[in-house]
Amino acid sequence: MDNTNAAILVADDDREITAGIARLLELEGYRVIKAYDGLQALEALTENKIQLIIMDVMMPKMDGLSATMRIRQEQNIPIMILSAKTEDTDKVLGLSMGADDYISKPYSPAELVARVRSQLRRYLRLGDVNSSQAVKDAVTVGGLTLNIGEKQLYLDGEPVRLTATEFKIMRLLMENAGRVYPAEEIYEKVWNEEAFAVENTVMVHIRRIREKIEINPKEPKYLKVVWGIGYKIEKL
Amino acid sequence: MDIKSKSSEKSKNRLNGFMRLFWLVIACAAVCYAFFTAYITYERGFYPETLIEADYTKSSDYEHRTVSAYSRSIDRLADFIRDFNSYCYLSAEGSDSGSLTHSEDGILIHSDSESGDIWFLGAVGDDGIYRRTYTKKISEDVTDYYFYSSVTSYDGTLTFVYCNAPKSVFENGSSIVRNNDTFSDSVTGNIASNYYLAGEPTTLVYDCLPDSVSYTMSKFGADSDCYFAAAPKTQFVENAQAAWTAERQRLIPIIVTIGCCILAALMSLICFCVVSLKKLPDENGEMSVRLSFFSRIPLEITLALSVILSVQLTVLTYDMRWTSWVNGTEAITRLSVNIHRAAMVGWVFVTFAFCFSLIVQILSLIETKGFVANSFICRFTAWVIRTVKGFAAKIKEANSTRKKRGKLTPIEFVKGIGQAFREKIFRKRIPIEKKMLKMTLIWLGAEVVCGLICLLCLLDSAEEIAVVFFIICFAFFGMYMAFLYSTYRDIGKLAARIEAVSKGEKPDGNEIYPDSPLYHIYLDLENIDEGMKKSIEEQVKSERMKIELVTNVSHDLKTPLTSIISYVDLLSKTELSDEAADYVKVISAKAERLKNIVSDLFDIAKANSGNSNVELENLDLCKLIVQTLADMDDRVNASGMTIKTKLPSAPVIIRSDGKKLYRVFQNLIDNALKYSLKGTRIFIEAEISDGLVKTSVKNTSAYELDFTADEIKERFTRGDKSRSTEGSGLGLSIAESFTAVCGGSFNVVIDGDQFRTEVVFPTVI
Repeated sequence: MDNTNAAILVADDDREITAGIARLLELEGYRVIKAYDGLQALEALTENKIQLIIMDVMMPKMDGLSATMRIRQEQNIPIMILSAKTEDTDKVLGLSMGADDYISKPYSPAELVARVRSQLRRYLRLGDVNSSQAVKDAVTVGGLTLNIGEKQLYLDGEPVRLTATEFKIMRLLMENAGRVYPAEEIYEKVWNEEAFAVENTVMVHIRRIREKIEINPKEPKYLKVVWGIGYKIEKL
Repeated sequence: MDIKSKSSEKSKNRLNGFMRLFWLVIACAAVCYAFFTAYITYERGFYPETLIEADYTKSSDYEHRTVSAYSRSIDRLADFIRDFNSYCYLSAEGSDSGSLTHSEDGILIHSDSESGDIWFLGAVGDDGIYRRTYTKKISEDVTDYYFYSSVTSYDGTLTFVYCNAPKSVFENGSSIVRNNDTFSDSVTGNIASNYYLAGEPTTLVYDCLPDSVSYTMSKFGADSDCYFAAAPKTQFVENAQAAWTAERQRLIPIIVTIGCCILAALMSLICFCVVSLKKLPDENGEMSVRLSFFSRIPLEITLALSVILSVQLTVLTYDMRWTSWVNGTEAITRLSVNIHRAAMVGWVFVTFAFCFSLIVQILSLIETKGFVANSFICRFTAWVIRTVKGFAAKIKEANSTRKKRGKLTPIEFVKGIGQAFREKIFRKRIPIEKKMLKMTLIWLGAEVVCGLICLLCLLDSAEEIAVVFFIICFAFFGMYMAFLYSTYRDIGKLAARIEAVSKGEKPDGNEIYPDSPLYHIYLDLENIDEGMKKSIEEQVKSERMKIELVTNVSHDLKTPLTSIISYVDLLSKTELSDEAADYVKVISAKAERLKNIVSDLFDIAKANSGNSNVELENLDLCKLIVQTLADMDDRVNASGMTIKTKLPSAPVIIRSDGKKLYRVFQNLIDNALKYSLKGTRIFIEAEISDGLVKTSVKNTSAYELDFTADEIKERFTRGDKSRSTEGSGLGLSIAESFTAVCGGSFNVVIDGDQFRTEVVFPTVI
C-alpha cells in the first residue's frame, strides 16, 4: 500500500492522548503532526500536506466541530472525530458538520488504526475511482461498493469475500439501503422458501457479514439491527 | 478605627448636649436672679411693710390723731381713703353717723353728725400725695379761734394750713357743716368773713415756726381765705437727703448686680446659641447642625407656649405685687410670701428657658433650612398640596386612559374622579372586609346626610330642595350599587384567573385595576403565578445542571482511561519479557472492564436523570427477544446453557425504544448466563394478559440467593458478594432504569434458587 507514509494530523488538548495516538500511528508507519487546539490544527494544515485529521471535540481556543467546519469549507481531507461525547446526538452533529467518522473515547487502539486505514484507503484510492466513470451495475453505500456483474463486494476498494447467500443478503439490503427488512422477508427473498423460525439463521449470516465488512462488529457502521423489527443497511 | 471615631463622635455629641443644657441653665439662672433682686427691691423699697400709721392721743382739751399714709398713686390713696373712712367712722367713739369729705382742693374733712365735731384730716397735694396730717378737733373747748394743720411732704415743703375764725362762727358754721355740704362752699365762705378778727395769719405762723425759717404764704383756693404757709423744713430736707443717700447706697449694688446678671444672661444666651449651632458629624460623617429635642417640636407649639408663659408671667408679677401689698396690711405670714416668691422664680426660669430655646430653635431652623420640615403649618400645607396634587394626578391619569378608549364625555370624567377616589381609598393593603366597610360607610354616610337634609327640607316645606336632595340620595344609592356590582364582577374575574392558574394555563384578560378593593388579592395571585413559573424554571435549570454534571464527569473519567488504554496497547506492542507481557495483558483486560463500567455508569446516570433520548416506536417484543438471542448466540453457546423460550406465535406489539430494550434483555440474559448453575436451563417466557405483556427470564442460581429482590436491584450489588466474577454490578440496575425510561415496569422475584426477572409493558392494540 502506498498510503503508509501519509501525513496524519492529530489534534487533542490532552498531550498524553495525542502522544499515544501519534506513537500508535507511527508504529503503523504514518507520519504524524500534533496540534493541541483548533487554531493550531488549522495552522498545521496550512503548513503541511496532510492526508487525514483526527480531531478532538472539546479543545481550547477553537473546538473540534468549528475547526472541522472551517476545514470542510476548503478541503476534502477525511476528518475523524475522536470524542468523549458518546451520545447519538453528538455523533449526528459531528458527522453532519463534515466529519467522516466518529470514534468515541475510550477508543480501542486496534479499531482506531483500522478506521484510519479505511479512511485513508478511501481517500487516496477511491478518490480516483469516484472521479472516473462509475462502474456499471454497481451499488455504492459509503465505503461499500457492490458490483453485481462481478458478484463482488468492495470495502474501501478492497474486495471482500462473501458466500453466495451473504452476497444475496447484501444485494437485497444495499439495493434498498435504509429500508428495514424483517428476518422472515429476508429469508423468503434470499432462500425462496417459506419462513418459519428463521431469526437465528438470518442472524448468523448477518453476523458473519458484519465480521467481514465492519471494523467493530459490535458497533456496526453499515449493517444494522433494528431491534424488534428487522435489519437494514444504513443509507450513507 | 471606624468604631473608635464613631464612639468619639458619640461622646462629642453627648458633650455638646451637655454644654447646651449647661448654658441654658446658666442663662436662665442669671435672668432669675436679676428678676428676683429687682422684684424684692421694688417691693421693699417702694412699698414699706407698714403702710399706715395711726396715732391717737387724747388730752383734756383736745384730741390728737395722727394718720400717715404713703403712696405714689392717687388710685391707691383713694382706696386708702375709702378704707380710712370706715376707720374714722368706727373710731368716732360711739357715733354712728358722719361723713368724710374730700374737697376739690384735696382737703379732707370729717364731720361727725352726732357730736357735731369736725375733723380736719389732711390734704392731698397737687402731686396727689397725701401726707402726714395733724388734725385738731374744732370744738367749743378750744378757745382759740383757729385750727391749723400742717402737711409735710416728701418734696421737702412743710405746709401749714390755718383757718382762723371766732368761736361763734364755728358754732354757726357747725350747723352748716352738719348739712354735709362741701367744705369749700360752707366752711370757706363762713370762715372768710371772720378771718381778720383773729388777726394776721402771719403772726400765727411766726408763733409756730422758728425765726430762721423763711416761709411763703398763699391762699389755699382762689376765693378762699384759707392760707397756706409753706416753708422748707431743714430737718426734713436733711432727712430726705440722708434717706435718698441711703437708698442710693442700697440701690447701687443692686442695680450693678442686676446689670451683671443681665449681662451674664446675655453672654450665656450667646454661648447657648453658639454651642447649639455648632456643626457636628452625624452617622454618615457629614457635618450638620443637630436639632435638639426641643427644636424638633413644631415651631407653632413652642411659639405658643412661650407666648402663654410670658403673658402669664406678667399677670403673675402684677398679681403677686398686689397680693403682697394688700395682704401685707393684713399681716399675711412671711412663709406664704416666700412660697409665692419661689413660685415666681420658678415661673421666670421656665419662661426664659422656653424663650431662649425658641431663639435657638429659630436660629438652627434657619441654619438647617428646616422650617418646612419642622413647622406644623408648613407640613400640613405641604401634605394638603401633595394630597391634592396626587389626587389630581390620579384623576388625570384615569381620565387620560378613558380618553384613549373613546371620547371623554362628562360622565366618563365623573367616572374618572370616582376611579381616582377609589384608588385612593383602596391604596393600602388592608383586609378586604375593612375596605368594603369603609366604602359602604362612605356611601351610606352620604345617603344618610342627603336623606336628613331632604327630611329637614320637607319639614320646612321647601319641597323643591327636598326633591333635589332625594334625587341626590337616590343617585348615591345607585352609585353604591354600581360599586357593589363592579366588586362582584371583580370577584368573578379573580375566580377565573385562579381557575386558569390552577389549571396551569396562562391567565389571559380579566385584569383587575387599582381602583378595585380586590386589587391586592389580584397582585398576590400574580405573584403566586410568577413564583410558580420561577420555581419551574429553577427546576429545569437544576435538571440541566445535573445532566451537565453527568456529561462532565463522564468526560473526565474517559479522558484518562483513553490514555491508559492507548499506552497499554503501545506497551503490548513493544518487546517485553513474558512476565511483563502477562502483566500488560491483565492491565489491558482490566482497563477494558473499567471502560465498560464507566460506560454503564454513564448510561444509568443518564437514564436516571431523565434525559436519555428515548425513541419510542411500535415494535414486536417477540421478535426483539429472538433477535437478542440470535445476537448473543455465540455467548450462549460458549456458556453451555440451554435457553428455552415460550413466546406467543402472533407478534406482540409494544411501544418502546428498541435499542434500550435490547440492552435490557441483553443484560438479563447475560446475567442469567453468568450466574446460572451449570447444566440448568434458562427460561424466557412472554404472556399477555389484560393488555399487558409480561416477559420473564428465569434461571437457577449457582450461588445461594441470600439477598432480597430490592437489594439486588441496587447499583453495584452482585450475586456473589465476593465480586470475583466479571461484571460491573450495574446490569440489573440498567435494566430497571431503561425499562422505566421506555415506559415499562421491572421486577425481580426470588424463590429459593430460582431467580426470576420480569419486564412488563402495555401492549399496543
